[in-house]
Amino acid sequence: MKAKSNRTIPIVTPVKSDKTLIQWTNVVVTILYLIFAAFLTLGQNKLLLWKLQDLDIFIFSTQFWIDAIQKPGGLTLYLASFLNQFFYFPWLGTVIYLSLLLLVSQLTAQAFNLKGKALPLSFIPSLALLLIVTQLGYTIYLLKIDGYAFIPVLGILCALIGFIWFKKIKDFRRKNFFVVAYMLIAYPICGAYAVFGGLLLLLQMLKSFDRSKGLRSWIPVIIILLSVALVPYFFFLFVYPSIALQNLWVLHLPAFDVSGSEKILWLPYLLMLLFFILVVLRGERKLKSTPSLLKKSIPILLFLAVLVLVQVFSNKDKNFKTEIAMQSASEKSDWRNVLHLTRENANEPTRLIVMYTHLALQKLGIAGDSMYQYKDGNKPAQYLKSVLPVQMAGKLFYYQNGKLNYSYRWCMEEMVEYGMSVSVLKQFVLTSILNGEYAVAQKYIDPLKSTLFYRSWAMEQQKYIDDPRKISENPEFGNILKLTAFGNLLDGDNSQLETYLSVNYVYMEGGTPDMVELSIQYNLDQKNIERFWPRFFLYARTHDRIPIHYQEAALLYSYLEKKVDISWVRFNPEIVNKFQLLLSFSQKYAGYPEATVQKFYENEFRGSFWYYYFFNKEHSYENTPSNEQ
Amino acid sequence: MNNKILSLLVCLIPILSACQHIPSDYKEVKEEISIYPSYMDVCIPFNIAPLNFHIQQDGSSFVTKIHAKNGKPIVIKGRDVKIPMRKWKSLLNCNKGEKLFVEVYLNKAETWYKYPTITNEIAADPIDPYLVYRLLQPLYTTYEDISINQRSLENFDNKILYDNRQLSTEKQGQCVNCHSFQDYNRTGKMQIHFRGKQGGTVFVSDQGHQRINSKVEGLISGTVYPSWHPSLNLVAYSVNDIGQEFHTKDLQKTEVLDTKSDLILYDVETKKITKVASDPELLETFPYWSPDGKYLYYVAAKYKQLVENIEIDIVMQYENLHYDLLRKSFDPITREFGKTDTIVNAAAIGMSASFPRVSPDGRYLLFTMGDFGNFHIWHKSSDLYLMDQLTGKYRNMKEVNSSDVESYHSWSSNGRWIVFSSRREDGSYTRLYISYFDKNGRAHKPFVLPQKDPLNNKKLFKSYNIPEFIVKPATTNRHKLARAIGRDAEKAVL
Repeated sequence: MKAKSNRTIPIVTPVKSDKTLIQWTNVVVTILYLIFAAFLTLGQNKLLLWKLQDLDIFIFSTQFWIDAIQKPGGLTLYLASFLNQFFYFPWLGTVIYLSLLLLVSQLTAQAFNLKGKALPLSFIPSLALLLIVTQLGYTIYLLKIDGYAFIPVLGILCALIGFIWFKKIKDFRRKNFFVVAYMLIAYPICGAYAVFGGLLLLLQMLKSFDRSKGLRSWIPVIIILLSVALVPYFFFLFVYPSIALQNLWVLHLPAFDVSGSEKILWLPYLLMLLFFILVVLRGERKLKSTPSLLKKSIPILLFLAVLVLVQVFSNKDKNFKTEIAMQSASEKSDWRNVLHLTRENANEPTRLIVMYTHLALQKLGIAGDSMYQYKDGNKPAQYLKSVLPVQMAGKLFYYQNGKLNYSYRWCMEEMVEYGMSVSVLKQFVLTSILNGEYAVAQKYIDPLKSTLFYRSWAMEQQKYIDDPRKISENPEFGNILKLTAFGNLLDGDNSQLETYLSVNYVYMEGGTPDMVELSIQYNLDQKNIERFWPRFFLYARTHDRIPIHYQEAALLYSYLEKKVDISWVRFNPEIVNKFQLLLSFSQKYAGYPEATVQKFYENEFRGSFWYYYFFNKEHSYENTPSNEQ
Repeated sequence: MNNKILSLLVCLIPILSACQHIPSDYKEVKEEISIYPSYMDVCIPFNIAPLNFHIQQDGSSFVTKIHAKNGKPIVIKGRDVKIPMRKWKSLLNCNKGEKLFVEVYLNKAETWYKYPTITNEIAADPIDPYLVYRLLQPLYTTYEDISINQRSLENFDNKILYDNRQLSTEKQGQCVNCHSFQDYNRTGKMQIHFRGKQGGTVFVSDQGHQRINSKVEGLISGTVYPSWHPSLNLVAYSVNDIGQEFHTKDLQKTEVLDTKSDLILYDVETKKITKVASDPELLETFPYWSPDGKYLYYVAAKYKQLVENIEIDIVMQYENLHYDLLRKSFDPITREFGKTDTIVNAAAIGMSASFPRVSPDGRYLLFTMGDFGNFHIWHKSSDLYLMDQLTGKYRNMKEVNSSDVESYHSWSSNGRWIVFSSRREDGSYTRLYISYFDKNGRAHKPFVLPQKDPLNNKKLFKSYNIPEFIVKPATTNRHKLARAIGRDAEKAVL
């Protein structure tokens, strides 16, 4: 069959010198693509890639295979999760990922005969696939699809292989048979991408549609249409119990909104769709005259345009990346690194970053001396769709603060809604061990033992399940258990992580010395004078040294209230002198507008509780207006 | 060619026969073998699926011999003892009322060891062929993947009657719950609730499917916990205003509380709702019809609101909510309720009863009691209790209870088997246990629902919920239910 389409891109057989130039151009384009892809993955989104595997899991077990294969499109899910686990080492996962993206380009070129100066076009689908990952941002916490990064890659490969195979078949009957066989085999393997492959076959058929052959020419078109429509329905009726009818033809596509801010996440999918439709329908004819330089440059210009588009639409939120890095460091109890990350972050921090910073300071035992030396802030998270801090980090913060039941609860909420993941299983194990629930801890640790990269972590924790006496030998466990000396209460956090922790510690009665100290810090944070005093006095009586911020608060509150006797408290003379300076400032700048004097105070008192008390406005993370449109 | 096949067969015969051989030279070990699940000293129905198990002791090779007085012994090699279905059926069928022996041989360092023989009993009473339950994660507030499953107890066939993802999307989740059959599904009638997207109740009968919206003005809520009348087209429901709070420390982790609850009766034919029990100072819930249809059992707790905010009030009082077990007489001809009797005054002993279930012969009343509340799946104090209604005395069924949760339970249609949910394995994930209930009113050591993969319960991150025996398969399937849910709901009337 001959192509009859009028929608053609002129192609001219190049002369020899042109050929060399084109070859070199293509080498440069390939290198540019690889550098760009490596920059965007390892350079810009290393932590995102790590987080992708943290929120997923691949288990080497028959059960995992059976579970995966029973799901619609199970093989792709299985393979995608398998490949996704290698992001544990972001460089390794990236090598695999980029290799597959190169394969996509190679097959795109082969499938659509993109040779010579048209070769740069073959990188467009790979760039779009790259954007699927790099534009994610906070949406990563809302993904319900396993192996997110690799599913579209494997899916597109599946569609391209089908297309190439189809083109090789010349016999009319075999073509028809192939279409049905392709849909029957590919649909349970890669879901919507098989449907997409089927549509490519349809376009290819339509391209060579010959009306003069009458009914015979309609047969393959009808067969493809019926296959695309009915094969998924067949699987719905007889094979998979858990597919929603309306999702049959979009299986494996993410569930992003088609309106609101999240619709931008469909951009790479639309780009791919548009590209493949145009490239299938494009014809080839030889021109007598040499095309202009502009026409010759169209493929490379398109390539560069898409490359720029990918860069523009990739997520660049530094706070988001800092949060992931802080979470990773916190899980390793690398508290110094958490502080390093907060110092490195030049932006106004989100509340979660502030919380991580305070957690690190508390764990290092230096919060009382330095918690106001670190940047405070309330920058709204740049999410496309609302994600609460408790969803992102609730399980970790509750665990680190000794609220083990709440940590367990948020593990469960996450596993129920977003599926099993390394992140959730690890937290389940730790929480259950400290809660003394060893049988269920064993249940959660078993899958981790069958993973490639978390086996050693699991074996390390196994010893606490086998011999719980060893828990007390672990200082990190010990520090958390010191925060569990509270009575049972029936309440709820209303999904407000920071508020719940704050209120809980502010109003806490009794508790261990560690809890009392946390209570002092939360009361400082809330500027609650009344609740500060009893905790401060208890601390001052039982400790030789009083941290700087507690002294600052005591001096200030005592001066403001003029009713509490602090004469017996051992204050540091330097802090007392500094407080005198503060008082002189207050007299000197009395009556000045706040905005004017803030700069003077900042120079002298920034990093003190006093500066926080006077110039830090009330904040609540949860009440922060979101960027969601 | 033929010679080659013959030689191959000659070589294979000793290998194959060796696989089936039990060791002749072995040392006897006195300690019990550790197997999972612990199918030891249990009484099983002759029509039950194979009790596959996993040998937990270390060894290089394993041989298990299963035998009884009559029939051919079964010999299985390997740590996972997966018993061939046909041989198992044949062995059990010819040994009704006899004992079943399991011998485990284990090879360690080139020496075979034989462990003490496990002896189980094969009851002559069959168990109902199907069990319908809900499978879901032990969730709190979010839900994603919930299914109603029909499991054949005679083999491992499992049919998903409905999966909540069939109609739901990411944004509009659907929660499927509370299935109930009329008279063990002998009549082919069942009902099932859907919440969230396209919420309502679907009634299934031979005539088809009907979707009903039971949220009627004048009621606390739409219909919640159901019980079909055994012969009439009536379903008793509770209507509940349900809340959930979380324990900060207690390992029970969450508390499901009713702030209000009443009982109603729904007529499936006329779609008419009538109130049955709606005392403002009582929280009435979990209705259950006696097998003769002349009594409606339920539980009720006295509750008086003390502070204005009822959510705060109920949290303050939750440990003082003690549900008694009551019943109302019912005249199936006039369809009118009579007097109310207190059957178990649980509050008087500082306990709280829930889930009354009367045995098919009407003699025994099985229920759960815990320290407080009614949602006992989250109460570690919850145990099964049995009342002999001839004497009015009840007792803790220590023979089936554990230190962890025992909750939802059902009688088989012949009254010889009970199935109940328990969290004894790990404290969090509910598993189903089956126990033989003999003619003397004693239950036998329970055994966990058999699975094809003996380690299934360890690998499964879901809980079993609301197990109900049925005598024939449900007369619906996921497609019919999905279609019914997709239709407009008919409105019930008060």
